[in-house]
Amino acid sequence: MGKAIVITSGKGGVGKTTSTANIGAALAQQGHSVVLVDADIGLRNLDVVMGLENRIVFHLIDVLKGKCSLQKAVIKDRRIDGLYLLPSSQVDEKDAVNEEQMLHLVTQLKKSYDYVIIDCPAGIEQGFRNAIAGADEAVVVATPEVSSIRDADRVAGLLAAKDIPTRLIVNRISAAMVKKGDMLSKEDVIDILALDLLGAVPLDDAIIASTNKGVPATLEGISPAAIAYEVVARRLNGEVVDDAASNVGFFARIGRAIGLSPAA
Amino acid sequence: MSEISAAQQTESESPICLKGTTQGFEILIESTASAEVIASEIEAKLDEAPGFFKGGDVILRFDDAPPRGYLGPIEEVTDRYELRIVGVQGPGPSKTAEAQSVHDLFNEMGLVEPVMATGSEPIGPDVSALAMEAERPVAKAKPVAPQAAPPVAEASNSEALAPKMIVGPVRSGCILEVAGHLIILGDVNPGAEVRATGSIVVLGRLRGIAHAGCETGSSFILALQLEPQQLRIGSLVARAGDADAAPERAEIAYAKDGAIMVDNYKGRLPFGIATAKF
Repeated sequence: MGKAIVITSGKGGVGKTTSTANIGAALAQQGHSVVLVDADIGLRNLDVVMGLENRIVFHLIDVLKGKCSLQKAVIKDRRIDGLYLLPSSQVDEKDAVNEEQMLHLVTQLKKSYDYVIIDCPAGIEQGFRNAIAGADEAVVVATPEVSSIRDADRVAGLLAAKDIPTRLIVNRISAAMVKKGDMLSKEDVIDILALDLLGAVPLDDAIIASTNKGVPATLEGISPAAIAYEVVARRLNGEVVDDAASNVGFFARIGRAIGLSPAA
Repeated sequence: MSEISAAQQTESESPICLKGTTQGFEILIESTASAEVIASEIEAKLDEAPGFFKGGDVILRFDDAPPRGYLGPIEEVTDRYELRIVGVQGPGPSKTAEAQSVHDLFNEMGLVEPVMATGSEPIGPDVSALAMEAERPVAKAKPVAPQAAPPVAEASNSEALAPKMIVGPVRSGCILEVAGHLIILGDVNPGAEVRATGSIVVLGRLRGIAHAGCETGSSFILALQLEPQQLRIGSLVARAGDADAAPERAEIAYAKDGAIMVDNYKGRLPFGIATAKF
């Protein structure tokens, strides 16, 4: 039986979909079987970020309406073993699905995959309730901005009400801006939200480039954000990774990339 | 004839009224009268049957926010008759006990069901499992309440004023409402609102909205870090200042001279703040 993890944030545009794609790819790279579920019905884009858009034949709503089997709708990512995507519908609306249906669907998926990563839509309405319905754990993504933190706080409260254990990803941290005092640090964010930190992802141009290319940054190779997501994936998997270790990993990987150190 | 009507008039104009309940006396007081008048009226009433009242428990019930400095003069009188003030209550419906609705009774008893709404979404009301834990006893007590008379007296004693402890953080969108005093272990985040009929103590940062003394106004708000969006005590409202620096010490906010004052907390209540005695 796998584990279902919902990636949520309340506010839009803070990196839920990017985080879902990268965490999923990182978990698959680490040898787990992972299915990504796009729960953003009507505004699907996880498939675009994953570069799997043109392979969609059936989607989540088709499965729930019984038009096809679950296996048929799930797309295999050919770039890496163990990575799958269940795309969302672009024509239906959020209330085309209810919580029991999602719970049932996620329970089915958990039987076949180690991890079911659910990409939650923005907001706290029906789409949100659907996305968290089957989740065993939640990851709240927040950027170091007050608006994002306020929404993340609200969402954390809603998740607590559902007894869903919640951890935090602080996304798009600019070390330079934090240093100048122009940006909240990850400590500030944790301080306000009082959630366990799963990872801090730096502001990284590689993310924008890879998103537009349709290749998750973690599949692309070395970039600070990709390394941060690998740490997140390890921690989700129950490994204890301290922040220093992730830096060592970064240099070891550079060494490996230019042929200095042996592959780990 | 005219004498009688005059007597009746003074009777009805008296700002106080004694009322017996199953567990002691209540003194119903019109808050418009000054503390001295109230004290002398009480003395007059008690004088009518000094032996009868001696050594009993008494609850002061005001029909509005009590006048300033009321407790001193009244206590002087009650002490003389060896009466013990066991509770002070704000406007309650008990003047005509028969007419009060069950809903009012709940309010009076401190059985206001805590609202932990998160707005209008159905997902909300059961927010914060954390908050629920402490609240559950209250919710359970509710079905017992509908019997009219005895609970009133019961509620008036210190049990109704027993503080409730909530383990935070109280998050954005959460509205926490309790009868009596409220203690929060943890932060009250921006966008959250905590309300208590009594005082509020936050063992953490208060960054949301706090409303103490919803009924009487003789309450305080204390926080290890007092950085609220808004403070309300009784009917007074204070907005957060524009000061950027976070306070380094615990601070206490209280109502004084029609305004909300904020002082460093020095381990005791500021002079002149009198809440109900225990």
